[in-house]
Amino acid sequence: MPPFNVGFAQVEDRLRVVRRRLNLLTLQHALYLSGSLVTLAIALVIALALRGQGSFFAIAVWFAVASVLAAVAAAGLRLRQRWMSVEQAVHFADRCAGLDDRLATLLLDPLRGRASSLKDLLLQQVLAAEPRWHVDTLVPRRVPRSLFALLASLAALIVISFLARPPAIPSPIAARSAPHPNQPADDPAAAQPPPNSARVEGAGQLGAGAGPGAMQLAGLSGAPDRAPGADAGASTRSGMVPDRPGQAAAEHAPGSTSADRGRSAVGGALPRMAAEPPKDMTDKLQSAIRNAFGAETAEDRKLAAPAGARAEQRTAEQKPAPGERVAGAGAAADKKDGTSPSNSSAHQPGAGSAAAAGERGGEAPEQLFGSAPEARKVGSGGQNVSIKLGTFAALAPSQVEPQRHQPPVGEPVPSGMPPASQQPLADEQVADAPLQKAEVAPQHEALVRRIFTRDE
Amino acid sequence: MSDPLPPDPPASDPPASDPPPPAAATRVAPRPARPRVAPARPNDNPPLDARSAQGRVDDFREAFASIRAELRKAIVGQVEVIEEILISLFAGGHVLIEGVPGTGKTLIVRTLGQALNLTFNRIQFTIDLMPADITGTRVLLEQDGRRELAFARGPVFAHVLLADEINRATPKTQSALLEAMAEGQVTAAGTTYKLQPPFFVLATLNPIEMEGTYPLPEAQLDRFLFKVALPYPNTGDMQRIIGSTTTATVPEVTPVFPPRRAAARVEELKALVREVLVAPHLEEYAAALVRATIPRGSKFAPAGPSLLPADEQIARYVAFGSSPRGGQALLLGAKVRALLAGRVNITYDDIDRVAVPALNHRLVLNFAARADDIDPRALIQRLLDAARRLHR
Repeated sequence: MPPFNVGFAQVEDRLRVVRRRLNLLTLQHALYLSGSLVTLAIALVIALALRGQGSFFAIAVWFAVASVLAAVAAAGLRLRQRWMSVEQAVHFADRCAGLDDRLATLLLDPLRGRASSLKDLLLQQVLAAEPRWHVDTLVPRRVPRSLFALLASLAALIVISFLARPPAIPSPIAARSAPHPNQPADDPAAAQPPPNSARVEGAGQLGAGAGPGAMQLAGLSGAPDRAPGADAGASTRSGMVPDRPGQAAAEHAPGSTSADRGRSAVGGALPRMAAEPPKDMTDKLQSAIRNAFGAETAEDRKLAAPAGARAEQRTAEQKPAPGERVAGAGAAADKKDGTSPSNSSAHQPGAGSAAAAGERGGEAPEQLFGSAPEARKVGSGGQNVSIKLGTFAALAPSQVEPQRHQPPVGEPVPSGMPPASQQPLADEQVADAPLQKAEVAPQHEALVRRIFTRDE
Repeated sequence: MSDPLPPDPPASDPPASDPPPPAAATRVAPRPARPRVAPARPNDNPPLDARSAQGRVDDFREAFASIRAELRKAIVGQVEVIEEILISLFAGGHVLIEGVPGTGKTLIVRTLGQALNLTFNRIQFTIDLMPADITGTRVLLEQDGRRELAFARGPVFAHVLLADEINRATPKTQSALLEAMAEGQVTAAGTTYKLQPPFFVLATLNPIEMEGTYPLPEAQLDRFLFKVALPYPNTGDMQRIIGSTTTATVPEVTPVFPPRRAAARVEELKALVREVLVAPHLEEYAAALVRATIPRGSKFAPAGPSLLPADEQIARYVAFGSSPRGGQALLLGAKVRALLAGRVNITYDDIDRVAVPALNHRLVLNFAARADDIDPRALIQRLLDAARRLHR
């Protein structure tokens, strides 16, 4: 075994650093290049998911997957080819420093103990040429050029994502946070942020699918100018919204049609995807990407068409006869959506239905329930009812309460409202004054009975 | 990137305390002990510090440059030939010089002997030369009234031997040199005599007048470290030759080494050559070069893949390739070149520079090569070009 030599250890240590730097650069280069390719593939997939057709997107997805696999394989191969062993690092240093194989001769001798009186001289020559093979001279600290390729590909990804992104749709949170022109400013529900997006989306759905129940609430509340959907949304925000979207619609609007509509019109595509998985993986991926970027998915279009058809069919069936009581807020929303040219989905079949409006989940209240004049028109129908009711409740000491109407104990509870006994009042709340029994003239008794009988 | 050689130093005077010169030969058989200079084994040298090692390297370069300068006093031109002869001398090999008559072959060898201050003999090979004329023979001597057989040493007992026109002797006579060249000893009448080192044979070949000549057997060719070609001098050199050799002034060659220490000095320098370091990949390269000279498909071809691609012309024109002695010649010659460049390790370039003289006489060409007038040097040059493309 050769004696320990400080100079020899110094040379070995320096070459170890050289090798480590070279291999690190190789690793970075491979990672950056493969990352660039992967990023470009992702950009291609996103662009085609947002703007391309399904078939193109499927091809692009598989192409991207193949590209990613090829990039990974190429990176592995490049690493394997360019990963420097000790011997290669020594040769690299020899070549770059012009040492005429001195380092290789000094370090790579398999028989290091081979006696030669010239070995010390060789070591001295190597150390004398130290500035030529200094670590920073051989492998200066630098950023690999491939990093710029990665940055460029990331920039391309961002640009493509923005360029291919569909027109921005207001988020439900922003829409809810904006005060509705018809909503009272002192509405405590409007000031509160929605508990979560599902509830907000469900709230819109509730308003759309509640139907006559919501209409009746509006009439009883004595707020004729408030949009029914908004009122229903307020009620849901106050804690009455069930966790599962659509459940509220099913509960508040008995009848399979309303329930189906509420289920099919769930806002937010991801929960719906969980309930109804796409046909294949590429469709699922495309839907996920489109949802992530707020674009309308293929499932939306597929689901919107039958829902709209059903809604229109239902609207036609429930078209009130002259002199008959108007339909609920959902029908009013149908009417609005079907006529408003400002709604982009109005041109699609069935998009004007309350289901389609509610499934957007994030549209502004004015888009859901129409513009203010139309909302007033809707409210005017309710006002007619309230006027009629007011004639019979004229003797009641309290007509309108700013809060949600709580029926008195013992009185018949309107459909869709929980019984008052189940909701005890808080200390600061004041119970509504009990309605006094009105004296109904005999000629109006039949009318009153008909009004308070829901089955009719 | 070779360092420039230092200027030629003046010849040093021999010290007064030099030991007596060694005898011409040492007999292995029982005989009176005579002073002899044992060849220094490289690994027996004590480790030197860098300063001493550098001093030895510088000494080698100075000695080499001095000898070369002395030779160039008498020899006009032929720089490459002189250098290759000296490389072969310090590498411990023998040189086969091929050249037309009158190009200074004999003059080079004689001048070399004078410059080295070593014993020099010349044998003119003819067809009737007998082996005993080279090695020596037993003669009946009468001494003090007693007759006894004594061994009369032949001309082979010298440090520098010129075998002029070696191909004119019969193969039997040529082979008389085999043992001397390979083993450094001579066996005559059952007795082996050691030749005094350094033993350096320079044989000349006359490429013309091939009638009545005997080509050297491959085994003997393989004993020569280098085969150098002595071309015709160019016009300028020719003018200087005829001008300098036709005057009354004869160039005086000054011995570089002191007469009593010359052999030891040469052996010392030869030992230094053996200590030059070789990287493993350069050993591999030299072996690959030798392997590449062996034609593909030969029944003597080694198994296993070759690092260098098989050359088409090698397969077509070469009957037998180089022996492992070719690889030894490559490395030894490269070591001398490395020392001349001030390095203690060899490089690819050192090997390439000595590849042609070290390998060209080891390729046995076939009839197709002779018919196509193929020069083995061109074949080796092709191998070197392929190796450069592959290895660098």
